[in-house]
Amino acid sequence: MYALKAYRGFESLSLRHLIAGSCATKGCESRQIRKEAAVVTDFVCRRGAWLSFLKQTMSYVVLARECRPETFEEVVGQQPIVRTLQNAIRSNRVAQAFLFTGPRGVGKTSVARILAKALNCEQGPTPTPCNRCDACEEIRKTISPDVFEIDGASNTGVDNVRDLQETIRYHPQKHRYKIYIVDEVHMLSTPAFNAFLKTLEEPPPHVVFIFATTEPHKIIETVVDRCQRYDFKKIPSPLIFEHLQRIVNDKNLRVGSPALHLIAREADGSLRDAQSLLDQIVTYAGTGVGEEDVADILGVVPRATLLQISSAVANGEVGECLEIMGNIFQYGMDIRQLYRGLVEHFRNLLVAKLTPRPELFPNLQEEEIAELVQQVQNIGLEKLQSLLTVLIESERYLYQAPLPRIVLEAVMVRLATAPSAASLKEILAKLISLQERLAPPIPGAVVSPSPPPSLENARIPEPTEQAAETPAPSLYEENRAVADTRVEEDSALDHLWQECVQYIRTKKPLLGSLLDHTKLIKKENGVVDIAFEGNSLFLESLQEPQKKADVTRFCGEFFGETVRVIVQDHTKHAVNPGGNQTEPTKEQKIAQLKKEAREHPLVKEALSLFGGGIAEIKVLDSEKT
Amino acid sequence: MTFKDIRGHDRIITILRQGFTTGRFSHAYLFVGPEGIGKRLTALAMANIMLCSSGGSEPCGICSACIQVDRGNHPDLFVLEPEKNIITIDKIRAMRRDLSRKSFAGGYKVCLVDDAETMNVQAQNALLKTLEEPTPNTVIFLISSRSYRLLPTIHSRCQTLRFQPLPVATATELVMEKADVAEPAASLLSTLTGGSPGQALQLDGEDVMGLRESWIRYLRSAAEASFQDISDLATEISRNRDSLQLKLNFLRLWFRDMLHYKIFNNARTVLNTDKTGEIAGQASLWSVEKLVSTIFTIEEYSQALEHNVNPQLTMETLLLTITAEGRPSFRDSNGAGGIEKCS
Repeated sequence: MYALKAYRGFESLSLRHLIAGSCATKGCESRQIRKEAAVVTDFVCRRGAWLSFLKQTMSYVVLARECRPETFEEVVGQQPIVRTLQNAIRSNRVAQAFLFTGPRGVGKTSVARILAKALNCEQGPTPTPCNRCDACEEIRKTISPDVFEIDGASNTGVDNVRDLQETIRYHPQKHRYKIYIVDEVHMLSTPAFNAFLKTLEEPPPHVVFIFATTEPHKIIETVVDRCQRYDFKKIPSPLIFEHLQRIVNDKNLRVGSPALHLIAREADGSLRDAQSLLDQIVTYAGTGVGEEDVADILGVVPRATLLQISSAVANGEVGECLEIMGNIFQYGMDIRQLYRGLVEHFRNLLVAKLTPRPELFPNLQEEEIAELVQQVQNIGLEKLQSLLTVLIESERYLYQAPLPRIVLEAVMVRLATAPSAASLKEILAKLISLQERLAPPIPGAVVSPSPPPSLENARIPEPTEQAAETPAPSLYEENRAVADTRVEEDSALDHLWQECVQYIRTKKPLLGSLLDHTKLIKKENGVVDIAFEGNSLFLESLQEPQKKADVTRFCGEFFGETVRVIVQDHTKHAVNPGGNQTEPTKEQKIAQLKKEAREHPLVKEALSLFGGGIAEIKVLDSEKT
Repeated sequence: MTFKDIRGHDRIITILRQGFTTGRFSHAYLFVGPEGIGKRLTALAMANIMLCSSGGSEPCGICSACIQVDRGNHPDLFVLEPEKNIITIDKIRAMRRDLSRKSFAGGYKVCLVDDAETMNVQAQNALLKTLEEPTPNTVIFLISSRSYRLLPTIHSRCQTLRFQPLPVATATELVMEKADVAEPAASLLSTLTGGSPGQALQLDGEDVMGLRESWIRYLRSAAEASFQDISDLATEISRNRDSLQLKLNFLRLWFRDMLHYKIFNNARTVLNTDKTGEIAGQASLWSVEKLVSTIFTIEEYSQALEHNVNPQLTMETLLLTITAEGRPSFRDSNGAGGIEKCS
């Protein structure tokens, strides 16, 4: 008892005073008092701890928690859901299992708690819980014996679900329903979900499940279809703004509405984010908060800077772009946030060019839109489009770059040096005029298929009489015309051959890939001369009569005439240009070689010197072919 | 550790201090910013103030709590660090258990999660409920240099404080204080690491000047570099995987400098201040377009290095790509003709 007194009054009394006082009243011999004195001493020694205990009673609760809605009416921006739930309670058609999904900070857990209150309130299941009775009070403090708020992310296993199911069949201790709120339910393992299924389908009448998650796609189908699903939406920024305004008024915070607009916009539809930001800004700037403070904390890029950048980019002033970047870096701005601002800005410019309707710029005031419209007057639509594309495509480089500034500078350079794209109409007009100048329209040319794209690189022959008269006798007439006429360039030959190989590949894929290794040396007077690059091991295989016949046939089909095909080694073709189809066979060749060897003067000399005879003549493998 | 020892983060310290003294202290903070610029130190300093038994706005440094914080064995200070590059759900569960108890000394409980992005998805999710509504007098500091790996639901529950890299001058000073490095090397280190003394000190002991020389040697004749040169350089760079990104920064800075030189046509904004002549010489061999695309190429390979790739091979490929970029192409020299001849 004395210890307790000392505990309460201890701030004003010194240690000695206390002990002396207690000794005086009861007498020093009493063991009880000695014990209490010791307790007091202990407390005094832990004065610091005591001080922090005092602090604890004043512990601050962040706005996001303090301003949690307590009734359905206070929920911001989820009217359809709230109304459905209220009507369900009113008409006594409350489901046994709910699934609340939606992005972060839109009110899933809050609505779950309000629903719990509404069901368990002493005023009967009511759409307007009283918030005064025991049940409501306990739920608010999260100490209700009948409302279990379970963290689905830490209790993920099937065993946790089994434990939970053990408790389900018992009736609630104090209130009407046993309510299980499982937050972050997407983290439950598949076996855990499956263990839930039977219970979830037919729970005892006194049980209500409420699942809340940000990632509904991770929940198995069979669980989802047993629940009433409510998809929470992102909260529109005007609603967030109103809500912030209310908080600011309630707490006497004096934050200007431009600042609140900025916060509401930055929160991206999440009320909790907005409240956290407000909290942070109030902490930083005291009670009077200006727009600069907000921009400072949030790292938002001033609109004037964005306009400067876009004008420099549009005018192709690379140096100017880098200068602006340098200034921004000096200011210590978050690069990735800056980049997000840039992308949004260029998007706005593009939209301003297309249709400057105010509802397409949810985060801009009217005069800001006017500025955009004014700036885009001199920029072409195609240019804006390509700039935005470059920005979006380059974002991935910035994503985890250790020195993001360098990447950002490079992106700016690329933007500013992007060739000013001419509009599609202009290009078309130019193309048409070019076409007219090159070739006056020929009746045949209109109906005949356009030449293969590969020929674009080759010199296009002047339209001949023949081409105009005979309307494409074979599939590859144009090719033939090209090949037969004045195309000497290797590259054109190569392309022609590639086309041919491609064609053969469609007929016989294996042969096609064999021919991949070949090169067209020349094609004239119906002779197709192809060669292998170097000493290829495919050469022999192509010498087989069957294959050779195939090649001849397909080439004939391709070029639209009967051809003779000559296959040879690339290294040899220069010295042996005039090969023909009736080449000497292998045996003939070997005989020829042997004859040469026998008659070689050196061999004769050796024979006469040593007086021997020729036993055998071996032909080197490399000589055989 | 006190705020006095921390340089360059005055704004953040003001926010923390004001929050604490005016009683608007959040229960969860997320410290975001590049590696090695003092995020953890700031969190520790704040924890020290909160745990110090003098109850002032500066830690007294003599009470038992301060000494315990200093030695890292304060019973109410929980520091979580990745083990083998990961923070598992078990660690988070243990932390939740610790935090659910009353504090030992009767004051705050402070939890500090370093490299918070190494929490795997399960661990992050398991933290959500605690992060939203911890027991009274609990403050959680999440520290992350790669905060994009944290779930949006984590971001939304914390007050995010963005730490900016230090100005190069400040970083240079710090590097010179902490390590026995001469001024030019220290300044080079700070520039290289983008104003992060922590990373600069990581590179301490390596021959940064020599390494830069070998980079420059390679780049000087990048177009004619033989595979042997490239392979040697790649081996040298990829020997220590931890500092690989920092070594790539040489390359990034060099190309950045060339780009600046090319655009402004003077060396005013060049960062390799002692090598302006060299930069001018090399810049003349490159076009702006190629410099920009090379900068992007470096980023592409650097992202690959964040994954499980063979650093040596990746570096070789990167260097080969740069070599190819540096080579005047057939199209450029002839001015026309789209087909490259293979000779």
